[in-house]
Parts: sequence; C-alpha cells; structure tokens
Amino acid sequence: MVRKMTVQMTVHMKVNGRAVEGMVAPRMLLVDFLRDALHLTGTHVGCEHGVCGACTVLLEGEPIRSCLMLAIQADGHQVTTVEGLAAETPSDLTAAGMTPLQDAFWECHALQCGYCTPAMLISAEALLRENPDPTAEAVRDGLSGVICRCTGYQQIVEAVLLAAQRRRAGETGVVRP
Amino acid sequence: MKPVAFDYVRPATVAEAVAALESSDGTGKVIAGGQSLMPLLNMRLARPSLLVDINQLPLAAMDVEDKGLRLGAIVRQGAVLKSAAVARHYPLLIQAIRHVGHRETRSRGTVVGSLVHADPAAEILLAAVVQGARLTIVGPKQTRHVAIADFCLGYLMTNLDPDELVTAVTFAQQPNMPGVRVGTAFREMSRRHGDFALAAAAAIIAVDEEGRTVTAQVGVAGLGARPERLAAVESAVIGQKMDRVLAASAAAEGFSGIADGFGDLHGSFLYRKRVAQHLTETVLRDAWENATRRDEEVGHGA
Repeated sequence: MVRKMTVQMTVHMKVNGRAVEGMVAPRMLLVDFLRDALHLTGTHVGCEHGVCGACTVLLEGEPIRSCLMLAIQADGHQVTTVEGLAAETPSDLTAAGMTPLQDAFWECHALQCGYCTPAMLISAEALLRENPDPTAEAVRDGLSGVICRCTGYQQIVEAVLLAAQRRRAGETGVVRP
Repeated sequence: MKPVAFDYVRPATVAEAVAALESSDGTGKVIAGGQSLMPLLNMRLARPSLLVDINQLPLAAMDVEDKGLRLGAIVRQGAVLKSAAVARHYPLLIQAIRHVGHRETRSRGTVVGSLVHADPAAEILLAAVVQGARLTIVGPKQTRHVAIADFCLGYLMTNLDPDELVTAVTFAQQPNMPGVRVGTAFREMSRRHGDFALAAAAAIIAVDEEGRTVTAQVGVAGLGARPERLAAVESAVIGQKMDRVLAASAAAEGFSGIADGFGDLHGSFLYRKRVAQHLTETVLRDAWENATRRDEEVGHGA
C-alpha cells in the first residue's frame, strides 16, 4: 500500500472542468503539476511556503494555496485556475471573453507586472461568490492573502467593487467591445 | 524549493494510518491540511521518509456537545468559522481562528493540526490553553486522552509519539452556572494583518447579575515556548467589577512575575512582554464588557 518514493503515482482530477490524468512523484506540488504537466502557467510560484498567495487556485470553489498541496492530494478533486474562470460563467463574458472581474481589472488598471493578478482574480472570485456586496474594507480583508508589490492595491479594490456592482446589476456580458 | 522525496500513503482507516506510522520507525509524518508541514517540506527543514495522508479518514465531524466541542482531526479551520453553533457556544475559538493565516490557508488548515504543530504563538493553541481542551490520541497499543497543558511541551514539541495519531480535540465548555453570563475576547499584535503574532492574549470572563467576575480564564502567547495561563491575573479580578484601573493593576501584577522569556529580531522579550501586558488589559475589559452587554447572545468580542 505504501508507494515507494521512486515510483510515480497516478492522479485523476478535474481541472477547469476537464478530466485530467497524470503520473506524479508524491513530492510534486499541485502548483508544479498545473504549470509543468498541464501547461496552465497562469498560476504562479512565489514563496513556496504559503504566504505570498501567487499560487492560489480554487479547490471545489474554495481558495487554497497550491504550493501547499501535493498533486497527489488533489486526486478526485476539482481545481479551477485563472484560465478556467471564464468558462464557469459563459453568459457573463465580454466580447473579448473576459469575466466581469477580469474586465474590471483591465478597466481600473488593477495590474502592472501581472504576477499576482491570477491569484487576485481567484481570491476576488471566491470573495464575491460568498459576499456579492462587499464594502471596500471587506474587499481588502478578502484579498489580504495575496501580496501585490506593484499597485498599492487601491485599483485592485476599485476593480473588485466595480465588478461586484456590475454583477449585482446584471450589467455583465458585452460591457465594452 | 521542492520537498525531498518521500513515500506516500493515504489510508482509509485510523488503524491503517497508525500502522503506517509505526512501520516508518519514527521517520514518518502525518499530513492533514499541510499548511504548517508543507512549508517545512518545501524549505527542506523537515525530511520525513513517509507521509501519511489522513484527509480521507472519517475524522471530519464537528460535534457541539454538552460536554464540549469535539472536532475531528481533519475539521478545517474555515469550517469552524462558518458554524453558528460554535459561534454561539465557543466564541473564543471563532475569535482566535479569525486571526489565523488567511482564508486560503484556513480552507485546508485544520484545528487539530495547529495544536499538533504547537507553534508558540499559534492562536488556536492559545485558545485551547485558555478554554481547556483534551486531545484524543491513538497509538498502536492504546488510545489516550491528554489535556492540552500536558500535551504541549515547548517550542514545536509535544507529548505525541511518532507512531501516534491525534484523532480529535475536545474543547471544554464555557462556565455554565445559573445566573452567570460569559464573555470572551482575543487580541493579538502582529506586524502585518495575518502574520504570526508577536504576542496574543485571550480571556473568558464569567460575571454574576451584578457584573462581578465569578471566573476568569486568561492566557498569553508569544512570551515563551508555549502559551500559558496567567493565574495571578485571574485571581486578581475575581469578585470585582472590571474597570480600566482593575484591568491595569491585575495585568501589572500578573506580569511583574515574568522576568525572562522569548525574544527575537521581530521583538525583544521586553517589547513582547509590554505588548502582552497591554493586550491582557484589553481582553480583560473586552471579555467583561461582552459578558455584561444587555443582549442575551453570548459575547462575540472583537
């Protein structure tokens, strides 16, 4: 029953709605599986010890640190990365195929280097699903698990509030060509 | 960094998990939420030969019982935060967990895991020390129950043997005498929101109809190798109504006996002691105010 460390193990999971299978060493991190085996490089590696947030993905809709989970532990689970956000709400997309959150990030200039952006989007998505009408304070608290070194957060908060407002008002879909 | 290679097993029963630990001859580690262990593996500070993944064991039950709050080993911190029953009957635990990491770590991190890791500044550990808690520990030959004060021995060290698995923690009930109301408070000081605490204080205060303190449970973390109850502070407030003056003098009296302790580049011992004393004054007042508030709900505190 114990798999020897030299042997790879089969893992089955659903990533962005698609069933995937892989052969992984037990020590392979989920973030490395997503990036290297599945070529989903939107999820980023930052600190590798759970504090920077760059690796954040959704596991059954809950935000988690994919650098603190082994790929083999995701066996049987459903993972959503930034690449999969649009597919989850196809009726809300802009003409460019962006979700209201992604579109608001663009509109509010809520990214510079972009390194934290996938994680910010994932965390913001989780926040808005739980609290569709957050205050600015609640947004700051909800995103506090992801570090941004470029923006100073102000425009990120504005983007999340703007997206929340549009989602509540049903003003999603083709907002801008 | 990436972990050093290890063997991996995901048992279906507690007996299998314990057998796997026993077979590893002390070089195996349990992985539950992984929020404390994975950083150690990724930085290669820990190099177990075997990981025993307990996430599929039937240990996810959260039972709010008369005798206490029983949490199975894989109950997530985030799940506890969402429980209305826990908020009503064990508010100190909710207050503590709000300070633990971030949502992204609480979604996987477990309450039991935090206790087993035994970081001296761990909020859940402080709450357990102040509230009272017992751990259920299963080994190859026996199951035993250990009070948290006896379980936690020092800096990241516990009474747990390498071939044992903690299957549950049971938090003691709050004081429940007739005519008595209870309030709780938890405060910590960290350099940034979500950081490990430099110092933290927690209190459970029970008052009679006149607002006099009947029982007090007060503790601090960050000063030493493990969180401690402050007996001197507790006895200083019994029988009296709380005010700023009493809280200050009780805290001063309690801390005058603490001469030496932990300090590092984030905070010298004297600084931590000063912060801890201030936080103790604050939680004394906050817990008392929560107990004496007009509404009948058990105090929520900060």
